[in-house]
Amino acid sequence: MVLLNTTGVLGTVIQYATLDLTGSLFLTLLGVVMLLLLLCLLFRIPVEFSAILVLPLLLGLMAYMTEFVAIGGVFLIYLGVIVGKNFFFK
Amino acid sequence: MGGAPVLVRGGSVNNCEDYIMGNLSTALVVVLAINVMLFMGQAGAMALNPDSSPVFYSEDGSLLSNFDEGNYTTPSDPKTLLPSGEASVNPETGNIFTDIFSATKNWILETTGLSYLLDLLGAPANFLKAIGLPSAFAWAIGSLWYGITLFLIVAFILGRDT
Repeated sequence: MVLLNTTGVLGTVIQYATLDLTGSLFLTLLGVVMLLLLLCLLFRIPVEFSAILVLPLLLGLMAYMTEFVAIGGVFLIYLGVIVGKNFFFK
Repeated sequence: MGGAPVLVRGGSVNNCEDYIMGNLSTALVVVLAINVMLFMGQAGAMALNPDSSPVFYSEDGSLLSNFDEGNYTTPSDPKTLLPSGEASVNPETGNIFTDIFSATKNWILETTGLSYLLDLLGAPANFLKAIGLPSAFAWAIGSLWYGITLFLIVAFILGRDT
């Protein structure tokens, strides 16, 4: 399996963003993750709800790129705190 | 997190101090939930990329490993999880007078299950180190947690719940 298929539209966007804008695939994908979080903040959606989109994305990125392990790990710890607080003490 | 915002003189105040680290059971639930989320994340990453997925969480030594009987099954006999400790003083080599204190302390820790709660102390530092953050950062956050939780455990032994 490959992380990125460059034949599709989004794959091409990510490929050329890496080549022309950021210079590294890690920065491009980190930008995508940050963009998702930014959109949630922009539309006043609580950051907890962004987990529906960000968690699967981060899991996939963590599986293929070691650089994302720390970011994804902090995200998982944050989700664990939310789960512990809201589902057991509400 | 925290409770519903309360209107105080036109401003909104989040009364989160009510239950952020309110008592020991909160700390236990939070650490268990973090363990579970990290475990599920590791399982998800391994399922996506079984060949070369990075390993950032190991179940060994965490609180979850107490409840695993191999191949992710919960124990069929729950009474093995209950504490059944006993402590003794060696009359030949030990100093009877001081060893009685440590034996009593160990007996109280084992029989009441408080040693299980002591596993909570080092948990966050282990998480942060395992996912590859700098050790100084992990130590700083871990010592913060250590101090607060140790206070909660002492308060719990003395009979206060917060």
